[in-house]
Amino acid sequence: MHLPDGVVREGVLLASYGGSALLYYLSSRQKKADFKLVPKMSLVTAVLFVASLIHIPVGMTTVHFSFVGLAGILLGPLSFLSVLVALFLQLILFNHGGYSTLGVNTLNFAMGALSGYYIFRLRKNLEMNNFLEGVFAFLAGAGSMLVKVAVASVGLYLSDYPASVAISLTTVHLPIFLGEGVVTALLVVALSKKNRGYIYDEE
Amino acid sequence: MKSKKLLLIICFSLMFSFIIIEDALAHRMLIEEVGEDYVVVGFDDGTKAMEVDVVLYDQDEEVLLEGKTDLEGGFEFDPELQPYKIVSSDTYGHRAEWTSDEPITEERFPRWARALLGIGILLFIGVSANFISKKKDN
Repeated sequence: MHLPDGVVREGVLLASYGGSALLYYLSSRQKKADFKLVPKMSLVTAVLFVASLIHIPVGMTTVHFSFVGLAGILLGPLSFLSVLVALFLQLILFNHGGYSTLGVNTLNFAMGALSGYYIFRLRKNLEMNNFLEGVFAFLAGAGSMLVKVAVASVGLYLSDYPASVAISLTTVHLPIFLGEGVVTALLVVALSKKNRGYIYDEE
Repeated sequence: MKSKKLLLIICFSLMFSFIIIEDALAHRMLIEEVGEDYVVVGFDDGTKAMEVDVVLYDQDEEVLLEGKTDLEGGFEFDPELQPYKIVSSDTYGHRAEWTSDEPITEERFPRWARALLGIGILLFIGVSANFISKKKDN
């Protein structure tokens, strides 16, 4: 979800810009973007950009895909930049989100993407087969959404929304958790079968 | 080439997205229509925002009236109120605002064209970077 202007308190906005800057600093220390990686980053960013435009009506609202977990699995720490560019394009082309809330939205999406990367990395300690790889990709896809929703809920709670916002946001996003988990698992299993380094930590 | 299959898979996903994108472009809340005694709230995919909060303000930011939209996204009020600003919001963090000196305007380009522009920009960056890195290698 993209939080629009006027929803989040000034203090939360400032803190989220600080949090985003810190997250960028930490992720860029792990991996620096170079020209060779830009084509892959552009393609993943295009997926993020389009994914957020596909919505599902749930109850009295609509929710949308984001595939931040997939971005985390494919790009690792570089997913931060990918998320930032996708959100900026969605903002200028569709008015999704807001200029003042770009920081808080970047923090939500990037935390989701990076958590997807770290969840998927947990498989490194285990003996892997295609099924287990799919299970970890599912958990990364669904888990990244859960983290994204949790961070957004904290931002809303700190902006005077009731604590129940976390429950209502999680509930309406349940179909998205499932959908993102399944699609991420299918794509990751298909890509890792090729064993050609599409997955970030198999490069 | 390493990225060829990834390119194919992602392009296929993008094409699949476009099949369903025309009528399903996300969920920005909008104040779609404002009359003398009513307002209609919806999302930019065309669905109506049901039972969302609507607050009418005057020019001094004083609340004139509060209420919720009906199942058609509509909210009626006394025409004598003449609100200067109308704000709608729901419990999921969606929000839209309208002021009487900023009339609702149709967006200049269709949504699919803007989506295509965004993807075009990203693909251009990707192809340019690929070209530069190959040139560097040579």
